[in-house]
Amino acid sequence: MPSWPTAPGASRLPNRRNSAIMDTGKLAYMANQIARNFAAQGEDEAVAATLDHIAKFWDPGMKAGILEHGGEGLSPIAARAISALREG
Amino acid sequence: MTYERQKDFGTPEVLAETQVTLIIDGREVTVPAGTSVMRAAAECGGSIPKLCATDNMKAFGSCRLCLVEIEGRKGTPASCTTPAEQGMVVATQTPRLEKLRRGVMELYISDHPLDCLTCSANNDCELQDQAAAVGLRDVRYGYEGADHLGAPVDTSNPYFDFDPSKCIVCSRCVRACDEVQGTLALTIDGRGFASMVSAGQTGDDFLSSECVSCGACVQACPTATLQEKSVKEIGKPERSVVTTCAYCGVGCTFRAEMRGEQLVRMVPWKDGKANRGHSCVKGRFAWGYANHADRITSPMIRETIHEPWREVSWDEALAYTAGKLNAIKAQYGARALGGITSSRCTNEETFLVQKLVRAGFGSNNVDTCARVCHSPTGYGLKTTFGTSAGTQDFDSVMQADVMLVIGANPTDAHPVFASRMKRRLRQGAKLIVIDPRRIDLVRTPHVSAEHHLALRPGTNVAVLTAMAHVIVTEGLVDQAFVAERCDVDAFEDWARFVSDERHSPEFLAEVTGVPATTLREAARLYAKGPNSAIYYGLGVTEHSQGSSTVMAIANLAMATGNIGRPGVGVNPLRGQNNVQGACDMGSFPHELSGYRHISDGDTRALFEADWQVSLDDDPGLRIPNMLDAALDGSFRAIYIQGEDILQSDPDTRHVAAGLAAMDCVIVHDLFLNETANYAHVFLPGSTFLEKDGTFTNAERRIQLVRKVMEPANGLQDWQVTQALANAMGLGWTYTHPREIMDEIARLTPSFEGVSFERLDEQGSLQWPVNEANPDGSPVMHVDGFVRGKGLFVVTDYVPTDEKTGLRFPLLLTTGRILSQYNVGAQTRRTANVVWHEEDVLEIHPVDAENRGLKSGDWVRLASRKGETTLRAKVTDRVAPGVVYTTFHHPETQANVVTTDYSDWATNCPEYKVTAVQVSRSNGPSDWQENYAELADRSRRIAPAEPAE
Ligand code: SF4
Ligand code: SF4
Ligand code: SF4
Ligand code: FES
Repeated sequence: MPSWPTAPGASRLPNRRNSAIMDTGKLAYMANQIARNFAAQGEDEAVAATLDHIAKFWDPGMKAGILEHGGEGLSPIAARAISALREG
Repeated sequence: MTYERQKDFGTPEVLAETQVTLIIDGREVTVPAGTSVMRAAAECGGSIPKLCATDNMKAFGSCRLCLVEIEGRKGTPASCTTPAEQGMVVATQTPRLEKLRRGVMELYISDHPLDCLTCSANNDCELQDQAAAVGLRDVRYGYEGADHLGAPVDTSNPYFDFDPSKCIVCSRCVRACDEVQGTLALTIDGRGFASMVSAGQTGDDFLSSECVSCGACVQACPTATLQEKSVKEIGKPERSVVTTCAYCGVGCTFRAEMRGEQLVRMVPWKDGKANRGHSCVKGRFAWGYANHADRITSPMIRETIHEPWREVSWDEALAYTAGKLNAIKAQYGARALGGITSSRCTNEETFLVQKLVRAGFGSNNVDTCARVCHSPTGYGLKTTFGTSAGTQDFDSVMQADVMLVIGANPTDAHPVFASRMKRRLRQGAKLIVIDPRRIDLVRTPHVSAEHHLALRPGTNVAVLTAMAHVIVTEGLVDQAFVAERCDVDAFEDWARFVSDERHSPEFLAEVTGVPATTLREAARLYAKGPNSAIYYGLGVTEHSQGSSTVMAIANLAMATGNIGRPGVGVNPLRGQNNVQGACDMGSFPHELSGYRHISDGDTRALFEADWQVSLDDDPGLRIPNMLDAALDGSFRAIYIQGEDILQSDPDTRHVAAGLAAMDCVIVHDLFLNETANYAHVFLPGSTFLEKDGTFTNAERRIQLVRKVMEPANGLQDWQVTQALANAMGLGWTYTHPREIMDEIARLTPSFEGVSFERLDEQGSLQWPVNEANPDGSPVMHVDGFVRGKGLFVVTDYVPTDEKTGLRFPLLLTTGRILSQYNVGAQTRRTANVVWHEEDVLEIHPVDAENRGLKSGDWVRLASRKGETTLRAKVTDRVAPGVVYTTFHHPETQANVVTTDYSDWATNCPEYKVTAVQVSRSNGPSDWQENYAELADRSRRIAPAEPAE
């Protein structure tokens, strides 16, 4: 048998309508990656740019996901951007 | 419409400011100085007999058929090589000329078979026409002397034959291959009577020679010597329709020449502004997939992917699909639904798919396959210049003094444009290539790159920042341009950043693998131009710093003032035919057509009023996010038009798992592609020959695609999307794609002046087409950037997280090859497979030797993600430590090994860097065998139930 799931097993997962989606570790990785690429602009600018980027390009489920994420493993710039996102 | 060949003016058009007026056969005609007498005569409706001249190459003056008399001059000069002059009085038909021409013609005909009536070129042969034109009735020399009539026919090329017995040695084919294509595959061997056209070296035939099967020689040949096999098989065309190639982003236009409902041949259209009468093997010949036996023409459904497919009527398929989508939406909300538009489909089809998702599904979960190719271009050029598009038209390259080609392989991926580049390079322009692999352009006949920076994959940003370092610290910045056109504060921040010693070529050499002196020289050459143009491809975008690289490129162009006039610019070479269009049409989840953000209330209001719905103001999911969300259970249904994400997207297992987790996967395509193995609904698609619409090429040129035959599946793709929308209750009423374009124009400022009527009149338009640029815009950012001031962006080199190590010591990079296209769904179903039967792994001799490998060996290619097997090809085209393969064949599926690392800004996958190990293998991997079994099972179609 093929070595990856072929059955729609995920349909047994809970309905997570309007709630956080995705592996939040992956979202944290993405946030760090964005923050790292803005870092050379200086910390304050990089925080603002990271926040703006996430606001502009992430869907609501991803935003909810990163807010649910405990902040573990986030770089200082990403962490500041995410707390700013939380504050709205 | 009756069939006529396109008018041939004999010699190329001349662009000159001075005009000259002359009299030809009593008619006055005014032409640009430098125009030949032959062309001038053609311009005023005359036609001077000719054989060796044709208007897409320089005059040659060998056949002596085109003689004319000029008042006050002795003799009878050849009109093709004589420039028109002010006040000249020319006679093209006199008894003396007629006699001379008949004599010339007699010689040609005496060595030519006289089987016109049975020849496949009968009535479509210039030799025959010219013999008639000069009034040749009989031949005095007899046919008993030596001739070439018994020479064997070379049938090795799958698309055209070479029958030397019919050759008149006019050299048109040789010159076409040299001047138009730039391959120099043909020569005239021997002298005098013994001279013969020959492909490649002694012993070669067309297939084994350097010939790339572009067809230029076939088009140039005035006889049936070089002729398409399809003309022999089907017969002479009876009508023709001008349409646009559906393969790559060059956007060549062709005359689809038809006999009844059958396509006889595709002949490049000389008035096409993208291709100027040239073509490549794909657009010219590889259209046979359109009626391949694998094509699916009826809709099919199934409850689960373990069942065989069931053929159903369109009504049943659409009702079933709409029912599923509505139920999922009711249970899980609009955001559980999404769609993928295709860069292969028309603008109108793409626009409808994103409209269906936004207005019908009610989410912004729409993305396009450009996600995996040029989304970083979108981000990078929008940020720096203000809009996401190449800045130039293709003609611009003819004014470039320096070309910098980075991460692109134009001779394989954009062949017709590559021919233009090569022509300019042969004229003396200089070339810098930045690529880990020695692409063909680095050294082709009469072209040799000044500098080849063979960098380590993944270090583009470091190389470009080092070039910026040289430009700034050596005082090569165009200060006036920067002061006038750019945001000066941002420039100063950037200049300070790049000047830092840690960005010097010397400091970075160890990281990039590029010697500092080479890099410095390349930077100086680019900066000094005076006209320097950058051309780039997926080797720029498909990296974890793809967007940064695009911005680094834009920075270089701004710093040196290479923006806003012909000959310069930043030019993304788009992979698929309509990548530009798909992006323009609002296929990205965060923006509406014309690159306007979904959160912009004014733009949304415009669409809401037009569509009579309210739109979600939050961005939707991108393809990789959709797959992640599917595994999480929050994303459950997808409509995929004309894309094969299972084969084309990275980390195949992850894609497969994501698709398998969805409740409803709808694939709308020509074939049961790999993605369809995970689909519940299959909606058959139509080919570009069967639809009306528009494509937008890499130079923002919008061109019409015209229907030349009825869709085999019964519906054009836009009709299928409309029917699905209506099954969901949307009540759409488009009757023709022109109405969709009218809606696009109404809602998109850069398309304001575009309509099918105008495209029909003008042939093509380059957006923006608006009040300020009513006839379109060949060059952008002429007086100012779209965003106002050009923005320099600091691009810090951040190494990818994909690292080589003991287990995976080599870097894999992927690409494409001339004869195949993308996942190969089309080209694998044509005779193009003779050039590329399978994907192979290129490996450097040193790496091969360390592993005991030789060319042809089966090797196992393994990464942290997966493994596959394929055959090795040992070559020094790749640097030590780097291996390379293509992704055209599902049996290999190179993407089993690629990772899901992606561009930080756009999630464009990092196809170009994967740490791998290569070792000897006995044959297919378990994965390949399992997948083959799954694919076979999944493609079963249940026999139709007998009608009641
Ligand atoms: S098909 Fe193209 S490449 Fe081949 S010989 Fe003819 S012109 Fe040259
Ligand atoms: S093959 Fe055709 S184009 Fe070439 S020399 Fe012969 S007649 Fe001319
Ligand atoms: S594939 Fe590209 S280069 Fe080739 S004919 Fe089509 S548009 Fe032109
Ligand atoms: S056409 Fe002028 S010499 Fe042949």
